[in-house]
Amino acid sequence: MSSAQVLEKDVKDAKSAPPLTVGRTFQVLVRFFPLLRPLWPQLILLFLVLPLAGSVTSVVPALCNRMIIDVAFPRKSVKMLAAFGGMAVLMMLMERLLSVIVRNATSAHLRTRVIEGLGTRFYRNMLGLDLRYHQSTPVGEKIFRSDTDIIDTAELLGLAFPMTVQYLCQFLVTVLTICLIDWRPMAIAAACSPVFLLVAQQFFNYYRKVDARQRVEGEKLTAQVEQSLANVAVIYAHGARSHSRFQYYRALVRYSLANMLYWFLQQVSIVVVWPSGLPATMAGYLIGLCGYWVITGSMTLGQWQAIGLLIIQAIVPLGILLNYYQVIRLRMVPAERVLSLLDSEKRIGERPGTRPIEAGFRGDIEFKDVCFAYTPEKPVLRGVSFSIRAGRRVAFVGPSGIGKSTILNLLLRFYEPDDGQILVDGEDIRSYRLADYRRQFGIVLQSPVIFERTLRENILYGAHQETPPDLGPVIRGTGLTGVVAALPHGLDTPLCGDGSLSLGQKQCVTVARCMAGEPRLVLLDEPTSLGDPASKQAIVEGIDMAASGKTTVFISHDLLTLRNLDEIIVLNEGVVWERGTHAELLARGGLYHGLWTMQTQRRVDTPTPGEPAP
Amino acid sequence: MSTTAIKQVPDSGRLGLARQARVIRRYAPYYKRHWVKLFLVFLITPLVGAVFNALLPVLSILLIDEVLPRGDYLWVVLFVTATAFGAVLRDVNFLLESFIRFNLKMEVLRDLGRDFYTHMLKMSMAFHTEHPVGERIFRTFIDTHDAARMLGVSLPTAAAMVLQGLAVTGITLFIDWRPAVAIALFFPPYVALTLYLTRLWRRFDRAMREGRAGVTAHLQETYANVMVVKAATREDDEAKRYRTRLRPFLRSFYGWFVCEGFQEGLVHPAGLAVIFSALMGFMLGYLHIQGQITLGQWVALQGLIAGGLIPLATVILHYQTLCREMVAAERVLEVLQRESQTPDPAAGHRPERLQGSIAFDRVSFAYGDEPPLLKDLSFTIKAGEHVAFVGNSGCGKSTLLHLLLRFYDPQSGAIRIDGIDLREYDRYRYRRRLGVVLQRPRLFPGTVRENLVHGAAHHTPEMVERALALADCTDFVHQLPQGLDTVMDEGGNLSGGQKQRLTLARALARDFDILLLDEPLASVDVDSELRIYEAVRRASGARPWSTLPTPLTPFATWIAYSSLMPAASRRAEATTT
Ligand SMILES: Nc1ncnc2c1ncn2[C@@H]1O[C@H](COP(=O)(O)OP(=O)(O)OP(=O)(O)O)[C@@H](O)[C@H]1O
Ligand SMILES: Nc1ncnc2c1ncn2[C@@H]1O[C@H](COP(=O)(O)OP(=O)(O)OP(=O)(O)O)[C@@H](O)[C@H]1O
Ligand SMILES: [Mg+2]
Ligand SMILES: [Mg+2]
Repeated sequence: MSSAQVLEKDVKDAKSAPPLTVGRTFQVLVRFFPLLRPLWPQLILLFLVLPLAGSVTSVVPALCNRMIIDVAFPRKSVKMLAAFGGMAVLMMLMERLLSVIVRNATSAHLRTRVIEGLGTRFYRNMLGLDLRYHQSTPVGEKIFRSDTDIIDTAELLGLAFPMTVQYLCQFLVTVLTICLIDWRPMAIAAACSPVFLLVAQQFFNYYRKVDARQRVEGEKLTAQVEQSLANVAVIYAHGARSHSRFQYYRALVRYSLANMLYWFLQQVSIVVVWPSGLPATMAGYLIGLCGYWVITGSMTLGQWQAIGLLIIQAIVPLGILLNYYQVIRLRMVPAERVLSLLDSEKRIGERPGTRPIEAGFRGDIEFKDVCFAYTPEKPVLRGVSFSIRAGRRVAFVGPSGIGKSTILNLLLRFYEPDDGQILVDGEDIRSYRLADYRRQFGIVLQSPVIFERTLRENILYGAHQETPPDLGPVIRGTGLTGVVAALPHGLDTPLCGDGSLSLGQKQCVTVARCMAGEPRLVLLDEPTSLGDPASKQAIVEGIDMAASGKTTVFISHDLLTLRNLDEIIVLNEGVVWERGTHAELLARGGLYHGLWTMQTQRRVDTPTPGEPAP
Repeated sequence: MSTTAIKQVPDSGRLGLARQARVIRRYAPYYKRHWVKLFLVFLITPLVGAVFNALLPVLSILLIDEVLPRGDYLWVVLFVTATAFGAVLRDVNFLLESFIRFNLKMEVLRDLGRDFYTHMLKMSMAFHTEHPVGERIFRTFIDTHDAARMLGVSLPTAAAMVLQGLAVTGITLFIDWRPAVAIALFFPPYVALTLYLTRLWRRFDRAMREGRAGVTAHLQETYANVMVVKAATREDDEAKRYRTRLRPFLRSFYGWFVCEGFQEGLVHPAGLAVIFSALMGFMLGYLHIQGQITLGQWVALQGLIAGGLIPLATVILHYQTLCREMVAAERVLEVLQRESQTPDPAAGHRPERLQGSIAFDRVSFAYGDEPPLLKDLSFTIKAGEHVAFVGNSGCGKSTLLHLLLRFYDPQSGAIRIDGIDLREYDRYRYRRRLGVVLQRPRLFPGTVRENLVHGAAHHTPEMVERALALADCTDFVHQLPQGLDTVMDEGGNLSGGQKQRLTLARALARDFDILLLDEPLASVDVDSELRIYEAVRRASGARPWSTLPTPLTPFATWIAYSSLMPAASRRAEATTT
């Protein structure tokens, strides 16, 4: 599926998401509970202590105010004024301290823990997903999910839920207090509220859609930026700057539009539900009405002032409440996405009953009628069978695109065969524990990859020994001595992923990486394709030395490097076409013979030096 | 690690007014096109807002002091209605204002984003190799967005607040001068606290951005190379590494939100300003008890103090937000202000076609401050000549090609194409006259066709077909499920050799004058190699091409540089082993 299709699907997901019920919200919370359990002190603080304290501290000042006007002033008592005034100020300070500063800090702490715990698990699972997923999902999108989705889920758990509880509490306490002073204003407000809630509901439905759109455009933009920055050399080389800029600008325009709409709607929501705007207007009428009651004498001035303050105070949490209700609804989307990925653990992980590998493999490999296709329309392997005895060095040869690398992919369990069986040491490879299994192999992939780490870390990447092996022989064996000497800090020079070394040197590093792991089986996919004749020779000799006695599978187009191997397997048309030693295959006069003649022939054809260019 | 890395200004978080002005001046061009919106959003809507904000409290004061004591409920209704109506108008104004602000942000984001991206693509290759992809993504995506928000929203908001704040405070003081005493008492410590907090917050903000960029870089690197991670069964280690890279980010994340808590709790007008007003109010209650002021006067005075303090506190609040958001703007500038190491000439030479002669004139080149790789290298290639460079791995063959592509400029000496210094060409025009295969085959996610015509100005279906045939791609491309329109995903769903042949086809599909090939057949089998070689040779005819093929492939028949090793760079006899 193309990235565009995947993203379209997400929009649909977001749109067709089943309506959010309290039950589902609760389910999600329960799912995350194990993660939150160790954080119970924070949870108690956030969900219990702070909401209660916040509600109390927020109503007391208004009540104090009332007491001052209705009691202290008429009695002309300075003491009472000081007491109530002091109380009010103290409570206001407490309210700020608890409901804002402590709450913010606790929530931030909770969120950092969630991001760390959940983020790491999410990332680990992401890496564990099978290659099919990784190859069909743009890197930029995966980045966006691991970064933004996790941070948003943390916001749901660490901010939106506690805030909702806190402000719900505050709202209820305030309303209760108003009712205790005089029940009439609240009765009127309650009568008006359904209209208000209906408007808010409609508005928020729309808002949620806009948010989903914004997210999708954000993912697309990230993916676009990622793929062009990762391949910037190609863009440069083709002078394709304006082309690439156009693609970027198109994604940016769409994103910025969705983004503008999103933020503008947020402002609208301020007017619709926040203290200013609609509710404030309603509140204005209510307060005015109360003023009327003051005149007619059914309410004291002090009560009126207190109610005025409290109504404003009820609107603030109401606004925040509605806002967080909205945040919850929005953030449930990433939260559920995160959960669904965490659930997929079962799909790709170990099957039950796999066994750890204790002693290490002998190294027998057997393919029994293995069939495989990346896409159903186009089979790659149609019944490949061969067996390699432990300690033998075998090469796969065949035209480009015939399935040589595919055999390695299957052997490493990157993909599972559609049919047939792969055995190592006489057992189906699916019966081994995956991590143990892969560690038995040393691998050189066709395209050399260097991480942005030191050269040492790069070489040790494949090594799992307790004590890091001595790198001296490995470096000598792969002809890297000169390279290491030339680097400013030798082995501890940090490398840039794309620079620092020539591609041929990078390939040597990957061969060194393969050998440093002291593997039981060695799989080499074109390990010398980029080397010069000298380093080719060095690598082949190095491999001979390091891999002596180990099963070695070699893929190469350069038949000269394969002459001395124990066996050569020629693949063609999805099956094993011929096999035998170099001499046997030559004698046979088949496909291999043809390839060999071609390769050696052209040496003969070589025009003599100095001849003018043809 | 690198000498050219983006300068990290050692940032104590301090932000002087002068530095602030400098940053904003650098962004002034992004405002220019939008002067109508600016006029509205900096002057008109804030003024309207200020009038309403000042009027509404005055109405309430009148209500309490004048109307209520009169006991005429018709007046009460009138007053309340007027207040409500005023509030609605104020909200309409507010919405209009927000719309213009966010629209402004959108426009600025588009312009800034495009400029930023263009600038990045103008930098020399050194810039790109030194900054992990993830870090560059973060700057391009998040930092420009936040900078645009600063320009489109926060700056106008802060400006509007200054206007409104001063107006409301002015009116308040005009009605009664006494709140000035409260203001004088309140502000000095309040401002000092705010500035301290701002500094702290800016530090966290910067650290958070750096931390998150680092996390992005880690994600990008491992997701892009997930096969290697899996093959080495490093998933658990990478997860551990990820966790350690998360830590600095999370530390600053935490600090950031604690700062935000202090802002919301104390700096926000609902914090210290309201509490202080209440305190003053209660103290003034003493005057009432003493009988010096009436109850109405007391209530009004309370309102007046709040009216004097709160708008000023709001100004400071927004100023603080602005200062914090400026961190993103500064990070964007750090890139925008970096000169490319391969600068463009004022009016570049824009050739329609190239003849194709290449001359290196005493060229010396080194990466960063490493010892020179090429030393005083001189040679010429006549138009139409086919030339191969061979040499040991790491001797500088690809480097030579990168110099020819102007990924880098030589430190001394000159490269001349058709007798003109490469640095005098319009770089993009020049590059479009080349057909290039880089050493590492890279394809973009997208269809095969899109990849083949990547960025080419003009191309025809025939050119595409021909290129496919030349590079021996026809067979496998037509076997793909949707042929040329098959979408290739992240992994490229092709074999190594197929990918490489496709990059060759991509080079040949262009209408090129010079062909530069860096090991174009390294992972192609002998059979196709022969076919491709013959086809390309026939097709290119007399057209000039410089190839950098597989070292010592038998076809390296032409002028060969046996070695470009430092000090050994000399013209060698043609050699083929
Ligand atoms: N991820 C993938 N998705 C779909 N098809 C793929 C994928 N990878 C490879 N293929 C196809 O499977 C076939 C075999 O590919 P494989 O990489 O095994 O070839 P190979 O023999 O290693 O060739 P080369 O010598 O060019 O590396 C090719 O035709 C290729 O197009
Ligand atoms: N971005 C870089 N920064 C620093 N040094 C570099 C960079 N790129 C290459 N080098 C160094 O410059 C030297 C020449 O590299 P170059 O890629 O030109 O070699 P090459 O001749 O193409 O080798 P190969 O045959 O392996 O491709 C190497 O020693 C390499 O370590
Ligand atoms: Mg392959
Ligand atoms: Mg090279």
